[in-house]
Amino acid sequence: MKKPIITIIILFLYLGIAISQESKEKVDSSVYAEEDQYEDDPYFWSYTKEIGINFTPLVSKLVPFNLGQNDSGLIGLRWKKYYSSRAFRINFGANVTNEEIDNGNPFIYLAFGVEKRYPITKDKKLAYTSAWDLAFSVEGEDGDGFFGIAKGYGFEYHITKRIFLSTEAQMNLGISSDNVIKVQFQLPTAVFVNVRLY
Amino acid sequence: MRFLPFLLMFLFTSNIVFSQKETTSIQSFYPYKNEIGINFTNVLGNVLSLNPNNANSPYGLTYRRHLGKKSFRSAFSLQVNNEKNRDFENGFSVTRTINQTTSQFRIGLEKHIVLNKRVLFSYGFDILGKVMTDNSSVQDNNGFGNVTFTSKETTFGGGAGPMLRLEFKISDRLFISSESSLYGFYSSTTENLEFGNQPSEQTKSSDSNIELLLPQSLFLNISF
Repeated sequence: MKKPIITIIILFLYLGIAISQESKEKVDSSVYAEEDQYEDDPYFWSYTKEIGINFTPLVSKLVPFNLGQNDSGLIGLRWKKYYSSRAFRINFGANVTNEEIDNGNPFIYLAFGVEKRYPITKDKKLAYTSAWDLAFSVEGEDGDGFFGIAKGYGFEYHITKRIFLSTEAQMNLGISSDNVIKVQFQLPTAVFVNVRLY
Repeated sequence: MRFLPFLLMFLFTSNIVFSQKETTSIQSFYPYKNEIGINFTNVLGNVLSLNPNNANSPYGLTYRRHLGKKSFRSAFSLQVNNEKNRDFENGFSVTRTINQTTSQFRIGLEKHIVLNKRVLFSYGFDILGKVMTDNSSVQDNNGFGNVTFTSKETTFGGGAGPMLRLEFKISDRLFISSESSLYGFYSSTTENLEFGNQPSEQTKSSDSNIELLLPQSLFLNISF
């Protein structure tokens, strides 16, 4: 009598553990459910949307040795929609207030573009991005305009698969409002905190 | 032997119960309904000797009421400044009086997306309002009589725009957050000037702006 009971107990224990593992896997993979399961879905960022907020003003306040005024760049918000491996993205920034007009610093920036992300490390926590944008901006008291293309290279660190930090350098080539060809290389100035939405 | 079914049942269910990993829902992220936030960027800046650049949110206090996946959000700030100075020079006196009141408020709705157990992302829409009064007078007693110059300025403003917010959960009752907003704002100012016994002069001006406010302030939020 004892043997069957012990067998049943072991069987139930095993069954319980098996179910627990299965449900654990389900929970673990629920966030990244799409990852590596389909051929056209090679990355955990495939078929996701991303929103990036320029956190430079806040970050610069929390860094003790940074006492000067910081330049956060023109881009304040960034939105991306990733397909299999490429993304469509929009960059936006604006500050048109009387105060900024008096200071001679009002601006509007808008750019549409395509981006591709390449993993650097095996766990894909570190990645770099390569992007092409069609950019438009108006800056300064006299409304100096710029229209052209921008080639961007970015660097990203994924804190988790839903939150990551990024920065980007850009090479701008276009025409200014004075019909002068403008070439400008912009070093990384802003730190973006990005959120990935499924 | 009688307890065997119970034992088996216990073993089976306990395994399943422990297997349920904590999935973070909005209810577990916000166990309490109400939240008050205090802008403590300056505290960090001054007390911890961090960067003293203090360009930050105009709102000092925020209140939020959580309604499931959405929250009602509001913020308020009030500044009152009353000053009276009297200067004497060569037997003449000048009395200056300044009364300034500025109140700003913001109400809106936001929707939440729980990113993980500790981090929440929200997006929403706000409506803003501003009322400002600035009354000042200068009374000049120059020996030939009193001359009084009075200025009364009243500003009404309103605006609206979307916002994005990131919140970090320290504990069930404590959170820190920061947000970014794109507000359009229009304000109208009426100024009445009176100089001595002459008829008053009224001027009107308006101001409109669009500003993408990047995260500059850190709020400490307390739930109850």
